[in-house]
Amino acid sequence: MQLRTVLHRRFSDEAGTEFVYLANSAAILALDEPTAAVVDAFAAADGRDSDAWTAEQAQPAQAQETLNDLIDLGAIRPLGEAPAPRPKLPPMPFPLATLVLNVTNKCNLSCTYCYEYGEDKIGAGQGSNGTARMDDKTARDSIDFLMRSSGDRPQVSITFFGGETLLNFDAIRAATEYAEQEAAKLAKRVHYSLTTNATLLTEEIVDFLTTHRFGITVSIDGDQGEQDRHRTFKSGKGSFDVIEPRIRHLIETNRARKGRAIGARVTVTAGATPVVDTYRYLTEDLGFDEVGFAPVTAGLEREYALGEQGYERLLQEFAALGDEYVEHAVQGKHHGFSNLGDLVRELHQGVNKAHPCGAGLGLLGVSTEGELGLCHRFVESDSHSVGTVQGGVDQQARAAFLEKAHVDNKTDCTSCFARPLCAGGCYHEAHVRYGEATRANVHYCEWIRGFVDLGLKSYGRIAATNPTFLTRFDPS
Amino acid sequence: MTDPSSNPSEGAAPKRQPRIVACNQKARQLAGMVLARRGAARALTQDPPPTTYPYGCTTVFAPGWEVDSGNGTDGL
Repeated sequence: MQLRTVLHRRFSDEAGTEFVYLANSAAILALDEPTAAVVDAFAAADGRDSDAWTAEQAQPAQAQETLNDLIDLGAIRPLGEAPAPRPKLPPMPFPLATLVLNVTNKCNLSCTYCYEYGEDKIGAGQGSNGTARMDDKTARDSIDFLMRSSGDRPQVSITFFGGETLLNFDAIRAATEYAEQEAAKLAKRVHYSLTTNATLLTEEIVDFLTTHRFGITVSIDGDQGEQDRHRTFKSGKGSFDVIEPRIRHLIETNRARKGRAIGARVTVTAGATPVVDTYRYLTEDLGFDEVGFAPVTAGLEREYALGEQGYERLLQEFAALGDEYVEHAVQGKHHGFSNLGDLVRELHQGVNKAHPCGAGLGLLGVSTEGELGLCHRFVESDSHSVGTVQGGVDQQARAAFLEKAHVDNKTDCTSCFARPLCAGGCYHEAHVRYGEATRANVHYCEWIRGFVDLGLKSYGRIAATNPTFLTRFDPS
Repeated sequence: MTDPSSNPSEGAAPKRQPRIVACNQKARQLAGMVLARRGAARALTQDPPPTTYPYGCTTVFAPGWEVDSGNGTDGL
């Protein structure tokens, strides 16, 4: 019978342990050398005749046993075998897990790369679209919508987003207090989170956020030079001097109250400081618990856009920071490089995505006026509207989008080993690049594959030296 | 293939390195399913493996890039 190794990625750790990542199941197997050789022997595009191969082996019975194991595990399958059927959609209506409330469209900063205000904005109007602030009633309607749309989930998440979220602290407070009240009636737990540029953090706000155990993410690009390069007020003045003391106060208060980890979210642009230096500054000097780096979303014509070389450099910098992550993991210690931490978790859990993210699935965005979008980036985009918090979800539009966006419809992804983790990438990014949210983001395939490779190698090193570290990602 | 629930015991006689070790959770689920299908006696001594787990099928609808593991906003 003609057999072939399924779509996979082979990798090894420094000690020579061989691994394979199987793209059909997202399983990771460690292999001894002879078994790794079998995986490789059947990897050719036209496969190999198994009977002939077995007969060639020095110990045919043992070779056959190994081959049978690999067949049963789905690593080697008959050439031309149809893939196992995958559901196009989960049972609908899929219960909501997270609602992102855009409490304001306004921002007191004027960051040069911002998708909300820049040329890449997709909503109607530029910068002043829709109602500027969500009123308290819409905030409460949003909570009612989340509670009735979350099925029997014991926990839901409410994320506040903007604009600058703290320009509408009233709505945040109203929504939070109302959510506490309603969740208690339904015996649900609510997790709150918020992204802010930190310019408006006051003692009162810090007290409120830490009392309610908000997961807080601060958008910050690094030290003063880096922050003031793009993150400026409308006057052009850098924002670092305003945010630095406020961030220190937030982190200090949160730590004293044993709050949730506070993360920094860094937008990486062309010519940015190396991520290792930025990570060091944000964790060791300012005291952030975690740091996540996101390449800027922008058309290539923007001077701050990352070109091919920029992505390549970023990957090298991620590898350097990744070494630190692994060194910590080997010693059983936490490291706050959240990009790699999230990837290692997904690899350990064997996440196999039909859709790149939860947008339109377990997550929806709400505009200031209560319109529902696929996510916070799509609110007020007429072509991606999926209902209103008052009227409910347009299930037909939601299902139609999700079916079209399924990874199996992205032909560019069919031969990519990173498909279980990437599933074609961010809808918003695809919309900005190609004008079509359901297209695969082929412009960063090499970057994604490089990053997944880094994740696999890191995972292998940890699995081989301190597998106990990975148990933190097991279901509790 | 190793029993996904087994751990090498200290002081035991040295064994040949297993041909295949299931590293992540998905691999362990697959290995458990295979062992159960083969009717291995040792499968009876471990937790029942999932019986309806079709490999290659997406059963995980993770929030993905835009929401972190704690449903926070790291990725936003």
